Amino acid sequence: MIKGIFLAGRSLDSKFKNIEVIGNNLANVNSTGYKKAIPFNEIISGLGESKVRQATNYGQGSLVITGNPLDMSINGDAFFSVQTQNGIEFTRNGRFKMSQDGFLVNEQGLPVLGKNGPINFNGELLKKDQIFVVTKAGEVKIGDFVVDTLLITSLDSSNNFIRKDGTNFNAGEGYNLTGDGDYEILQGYLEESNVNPIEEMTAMIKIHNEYDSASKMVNFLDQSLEKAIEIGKVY
Amino acid sequence: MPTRALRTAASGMYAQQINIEVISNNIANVNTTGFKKNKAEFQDLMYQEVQIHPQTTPTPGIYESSTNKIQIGNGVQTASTQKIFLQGDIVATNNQLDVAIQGDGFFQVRKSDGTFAYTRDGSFKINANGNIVTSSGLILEPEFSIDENALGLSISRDGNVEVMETGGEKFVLGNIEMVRFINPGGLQPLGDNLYAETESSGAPILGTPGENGFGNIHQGYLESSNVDIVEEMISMITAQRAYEMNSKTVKTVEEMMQTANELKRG
Repeated sequence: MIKGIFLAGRSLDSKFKNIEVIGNNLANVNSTGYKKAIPFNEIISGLGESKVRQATNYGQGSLVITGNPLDMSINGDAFFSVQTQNGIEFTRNGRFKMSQDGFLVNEQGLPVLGKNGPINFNGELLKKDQIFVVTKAGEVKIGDFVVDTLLITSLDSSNNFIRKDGTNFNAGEGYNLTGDGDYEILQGYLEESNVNPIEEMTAMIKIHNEYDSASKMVNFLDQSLEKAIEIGKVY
Repeated sequence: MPTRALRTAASGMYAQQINIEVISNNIANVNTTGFKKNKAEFQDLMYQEVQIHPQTTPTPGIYESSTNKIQIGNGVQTASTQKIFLQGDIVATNNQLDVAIQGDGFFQVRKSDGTFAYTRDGSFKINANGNIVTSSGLILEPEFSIDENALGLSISRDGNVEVMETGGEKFVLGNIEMVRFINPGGLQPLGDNLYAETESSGAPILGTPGENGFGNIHQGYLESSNVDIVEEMISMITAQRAYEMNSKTVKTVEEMMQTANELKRG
């Protein structure tokens, strides 16, 4: 019975944390390239141990036209790569800009990687009357001159991705550097958050009810214990 | 007391409030010549690693430190507001000093401090010195001076400005030059329909209208605002609902905390 109270109590704790996960999804309903976090669950691993597992929904967000040539989005299962001080990070947020020294950078100012390293537009190229084009295959061109090809990474073992701020992901081990995945790069579009508010509200109601049930359980066990104590009372 | 969910929801409500401010500015400028609509951009905040205690540990109250960690986010922040440089509708005015750009490019004007600013608003006027100026009196670059004998102006699609004199002769006054940016979204709006270059817009690229990706100039027309009122209304509805949803998070968390308070009877 005592163990039951502990179990119900821990359930309260994990339900509360799940509400935090949902609250974060709802807060990011308008964040470019945001991928919905799925409330975590306990699973029993193959060895019979219980484990907590957290997953991310990498589903495609809807693409919104911006008309800005430096906005890019990916249609398909892949990520842009950016260079950070701690290695490569991956993102679906293709709201890029030009840095003062001619690098293509993301919103946080991190250089966007091409197949030959950070993409840099030689200052000379900008002086010519040329247009900046990104092809569906990810070739970055100024006029007809190919500057580089975007380094696009397909995800291999999605569960190893660690979330970072700025809708970035940091790969644990085992990611697959390929350009052969099934994707296309769309210039002038941005990908919206893939959070579905209705799903989040339903999940919130469900978790709230589960929280209430767990609290009833604690109350009930508490009452039972009280009865048990009364039985043993010496008059 | 765990208040992360409350702070997350508060950040979400604040973000939607900024969203509404941006939308209302778009709606207010639905009739502003050459206005380009704004869009607020959001991104998630940092994630924290949180230990979850499995519910089926053999001994109650004793937690095994295992790999049961999950990441919980801290909400949202406004990353920037972005100008959307989609073409606005071209409206005929039949005024010879109204010019619209169909396609990419900006007019160049000189501000009072001598620096350049850029605009899509082609509702030009002529000032006392005969210069072509914007509605707010800034001189179009390169400068044109029109004398008192001029009867009419004609501007060709490639920016060639011709003057008709009282005597009936025509002569070419010069060419309107346009400016293009590799990343117009990075321009800094100055108000008065003007923009300034920034490091993220890149340096201005000068050119002739109609060539090398520059748009054409149309005399007697103006480019209206590219705000689509229906789209803005829909954005407003979704922003308001998103605000409400975040407030539901606050309410749910509050109720859960109350439930937690009621766990202990008597």
